[in-house]
Amino acid sequence: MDGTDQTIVRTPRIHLVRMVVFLILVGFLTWILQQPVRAAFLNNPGLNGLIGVCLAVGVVLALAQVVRLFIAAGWINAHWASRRPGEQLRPGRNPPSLVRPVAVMLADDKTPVNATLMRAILGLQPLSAGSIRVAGQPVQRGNPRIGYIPQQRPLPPDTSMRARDVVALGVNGTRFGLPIPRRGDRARVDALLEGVGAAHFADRRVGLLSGGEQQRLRVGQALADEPTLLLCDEPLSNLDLANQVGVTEIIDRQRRERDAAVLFVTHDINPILGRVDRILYIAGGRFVLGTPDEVLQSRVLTDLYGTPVFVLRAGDRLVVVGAPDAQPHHEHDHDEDDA
Amino acid sequence: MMVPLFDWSDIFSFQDYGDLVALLANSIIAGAVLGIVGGLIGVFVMQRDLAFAVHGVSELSFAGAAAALLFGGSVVAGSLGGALIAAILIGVLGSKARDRNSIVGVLMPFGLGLGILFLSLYDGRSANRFSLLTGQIVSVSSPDLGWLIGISAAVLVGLLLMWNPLRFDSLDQVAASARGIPTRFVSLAFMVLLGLIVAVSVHIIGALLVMALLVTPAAAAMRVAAGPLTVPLLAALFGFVSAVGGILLALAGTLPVSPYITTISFLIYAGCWVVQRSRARVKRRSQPVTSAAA
Repeated sequence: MDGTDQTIVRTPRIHLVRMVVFLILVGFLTWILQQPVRAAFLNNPGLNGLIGVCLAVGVVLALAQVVRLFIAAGWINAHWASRRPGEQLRPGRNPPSLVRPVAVMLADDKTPVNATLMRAILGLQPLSAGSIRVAGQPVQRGNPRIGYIPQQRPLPPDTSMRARDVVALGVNGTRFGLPIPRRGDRARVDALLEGVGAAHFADRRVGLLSGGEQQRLRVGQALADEPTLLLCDEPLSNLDLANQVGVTEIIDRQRRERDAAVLFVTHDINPILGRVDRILYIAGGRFVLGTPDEVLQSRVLTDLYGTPVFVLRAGDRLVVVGAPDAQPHHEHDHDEDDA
Repeated sequence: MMVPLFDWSDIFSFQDYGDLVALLANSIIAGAVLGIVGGLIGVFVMQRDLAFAVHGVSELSFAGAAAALLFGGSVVAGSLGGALIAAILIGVLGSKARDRNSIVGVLMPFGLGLGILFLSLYDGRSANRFSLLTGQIVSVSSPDLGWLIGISAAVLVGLLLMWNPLRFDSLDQVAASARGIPTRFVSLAFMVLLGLIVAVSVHIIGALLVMALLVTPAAAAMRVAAGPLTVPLLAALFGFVSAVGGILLALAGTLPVSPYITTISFLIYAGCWVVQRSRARVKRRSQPVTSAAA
């Protein structure tokens, strides 16, 4: 896949034909229904008032559609109108990603520093001091340049969604208003499913999929807006080895092809060791930042932890022995601090 | 000689049926709208694990209605007030599932007790007392019916306007807030809509039985379908059939409406369960090896 060709350019499109058909249908229905409705509610002042309110809401919605039509036609020059994620994502118009594509890894913390950092970058956590800039701009809530891949937690088996619907939420999940699909949504979702290797189970219930399959869907959802910064919060926990490799591969491909920066939180270094530029190693309220070769040394980590720690190498794998906080807490549950 | 315990004509009798239906057109419409909206909102109730909260809200709604009865206010307004207070309380205090269950567990008996207190202090028509708990749509006055229909319609509009963000939030609150969805607002708005529709259903099937229209149809639909469109549509259809079917059947006898609605809704659920089981069995038989290997 070539990165530049795949860049999605989505402009707001108005479906004139669909609108006209819709209006005709509504008119027809109103005309059909007016007799019985009038007969049923003739002596009903309360209901008449409410019907009035509903009509007013309808008129406002229709006006909003007309405004969109004008904007699409270029008659109203409004930047505010098409701030929807992804719609202005043309190459060249936006400054490209961070200074350089960087993959930073946070490892081995007991306090949820990593969660706090991610929330701060997402604009969900106010800073007590200092500032964060993403791609040159201050953080904001709902930044479409950031894709967030959460930890794998099994979805309830009776979740009423297919695999495709989970990914689709990345495309349409933030749209308030009537849930009418737009042209191009389906193709976009198909492309995303293809990209994360989920096309062959796209129409199965998510609740019945394996952890690895579910996690691919989460990645697909996070990639929906072509983010230039990917925040991965322990995306590999609870996955088996094959799926760890698969998911890492997808994220790494995004980094290479889209020039995206990746911030990858993990307790296990091995699955991503060959792909990491820099490591931010946090332990006991202190941190070390450097390249993997600089950080992953017995001497450095011993200094960081304050007790003897050994970094052992077995082939291309690596084990940290003797770290005081040996028990990894895989389930640092976000609901708890988000609530 | 055996004397039968009841007369079948109490349960079904179709004399003057057409006239009755015409007379109660408003009740039937109210039931239809509530059935549809209840089915739709039920999908989210299931997804967000709020079934117990629905029950808690309905008890507080009952207390509000009973208070209105005692102090001479509008019963509909009373039930609305009670339901909204409970829904917002649960929404604000109980964003975590465990907190929520304890809050509901505390609120529910309090509401029910308060309601019973008000009812026993009230010395008006006794028929009104029981109807709040078990429902009697035919005793709701015509302007009140208008309000019930209007509120249901408003809930429907509100639900449709936040449909996609609500689905996202219900599936994965962390990811949704990362994408910039105001999750707190969405949850609270959903609780308000839920409170409104619960207050409506208290009048139609009674405080004790609201689950039959707000939970059962959606649960049944989720047994047989999975799509984002098929589940809500099926749930709405099931709710509609239960509510309207129940009212139409009740008109033919002298019994209250609620048992008919709850029975139909239960039968639909049982049917869906059977369908799901038989489907699973067919699938298992047809591809026993491949599914195990995958």
